[in-house]
Amino acid sequence: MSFVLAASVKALPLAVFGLMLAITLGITYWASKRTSTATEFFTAGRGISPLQNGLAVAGDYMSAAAFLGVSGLIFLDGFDGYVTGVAALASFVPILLLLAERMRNSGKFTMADVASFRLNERPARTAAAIGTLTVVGFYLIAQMIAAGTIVEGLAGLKYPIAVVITGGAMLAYVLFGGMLATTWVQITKAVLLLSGVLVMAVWVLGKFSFNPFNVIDAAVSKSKDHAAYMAPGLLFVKPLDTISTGLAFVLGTAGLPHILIRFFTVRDSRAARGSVGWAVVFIGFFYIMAAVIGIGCRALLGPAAETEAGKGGNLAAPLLAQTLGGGKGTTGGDIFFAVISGVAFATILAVVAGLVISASGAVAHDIWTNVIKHDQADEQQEVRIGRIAAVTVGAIAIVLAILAGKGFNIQFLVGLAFSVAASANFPALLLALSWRRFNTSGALIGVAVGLIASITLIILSPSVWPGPDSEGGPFPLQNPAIVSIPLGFIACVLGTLLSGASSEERFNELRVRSETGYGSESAEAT
Amino acid sequence: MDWHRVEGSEEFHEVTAARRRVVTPLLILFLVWFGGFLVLAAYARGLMAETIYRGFTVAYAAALSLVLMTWLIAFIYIRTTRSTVDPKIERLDL
Repeated sequence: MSFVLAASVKALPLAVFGLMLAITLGITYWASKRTSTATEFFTAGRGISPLQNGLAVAGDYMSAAAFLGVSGLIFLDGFDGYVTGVAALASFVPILLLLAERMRNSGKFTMADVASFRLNERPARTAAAIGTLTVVGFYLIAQMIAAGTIVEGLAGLKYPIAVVITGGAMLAYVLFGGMLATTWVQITKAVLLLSGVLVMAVWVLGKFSFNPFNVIDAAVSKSKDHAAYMAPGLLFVKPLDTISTGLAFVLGTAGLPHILIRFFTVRDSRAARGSVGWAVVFIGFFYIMAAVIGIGCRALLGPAAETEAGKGGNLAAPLLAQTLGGGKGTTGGDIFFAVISGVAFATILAVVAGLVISASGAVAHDIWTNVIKHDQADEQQEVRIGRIAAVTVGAIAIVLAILAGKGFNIQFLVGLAFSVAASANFPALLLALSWRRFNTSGALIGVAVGLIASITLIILSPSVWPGPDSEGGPFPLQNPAIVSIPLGFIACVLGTLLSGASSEERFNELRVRSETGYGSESAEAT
Repeated sequence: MDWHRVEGSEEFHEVTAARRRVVTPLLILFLVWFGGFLVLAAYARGLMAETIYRGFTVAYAAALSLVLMTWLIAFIYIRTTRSTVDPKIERLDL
């Protein structure tokens, strides 16, 4: 076995990881008995309750980037690390006010159902499916690289092995348990993560006689930036970087396909509304705890842990758990480190499963059934293609994550995913639902411009051009959203006006359906 | 179904108008609150760095206020639509 393991394999975290795999695969086995129709496979039979879906939405949203990434960035760069988090939280306002109920009312399985409803279906659906697959692809590869790096750092497994185990579990959930397994894995992870951050935050406060201001004092005294540690400007040196990154996260989250398809899993639009209500309760709570944990990392770990916490500070939260438990080498420290590592592992597993099922829907339901088969494929075929698509997408992501290697610039991929979601998916989806004149060429040109602008500008940005971690690209900002989002909207409008075609006839139908829920897909008794 | 007729009907307009009455003010509140936060975090870093009490800065107060904002907006929206929009949808004869 020794060729599988890195030199410093850690038995306890490995055991907790094994327990997480056992629990989640148990859920998958239970779900597999209840998953056969397409509605069950892609939407869990639309039988998830608002509270359950709220937890699952929160779970989809609280990725490893949100838990390990945000606390790590606060540990390293202070307040700016918190900006991406609260921007993504704020995205639930446009999701609730503009998208959630209308998605449930007028869609079946995918984001493209809604985006292409009133348009010339095959080209518009293809464009929306490409938007979905691009976002999911980049985000999935980023999460897989993060998974490999984190599992290696936490349990001592070698990077490629860690990626294969994560990818294998992810595929098992989706293949056998479909959306039902994915949802319950997500709910389990959300409950574990919310409990984990509560315990950590209370424990941190306990170390400082339950006075949050004592935590801040200690953090400031252990930062080389002193009082500036609590203020903006350490990570986003240019003011426009703050704004552009904030915009990418607030509108990008609202265009993430794996979050939008969660609204198909509840029985009606009121339940979709209720899901968002629960989700913001949990995510808001999570972010209050995240601030305490991030600042607590600085206060208790200090500059000494900066190297050990790794790039982006990703391992800061587990290291904090170790310190809280009593420190390295103590039983308490080892146990709490292993528990929080296990929670982080569950977090990654659940999010990648959600990504794969949304990609599977885009390939099977959008491309295969509707574009290639002209909506003539039967349900069982659609599920079969969905499973094949999941394996293909999953395998490609596993291989690319291994080839890219753990040194790969993940920030580039995450920035790209959010920028494409905000600049290509969000404008086309919003205008399809709300602008009477919008038409097919507007959607095609809008998605194309949003996509190309995001990719081009990120390649030209300082973190990529002309090589990894170099400075001084031709495009000065870390994230292109402030340019690419307006470009996406302008292209939708210009494309619409230039073509003069009208989709008003179907718009009336979409409007009545999306506002009232008339004729919406009904729940299946499962 | 004659979608054009339904879309143009008085009853349907009541539904969309009721929804607009709750969405528009909340959307404006969101744009001002969140947009204000981003602009201050970008351009008023001196103000954001001010300490309110023992190292707790305006920046963190503003960021944490966004949690309150999402809770507040979600609460108002869900409560209001339940009493103003939903009954109008139920009254629609489709």
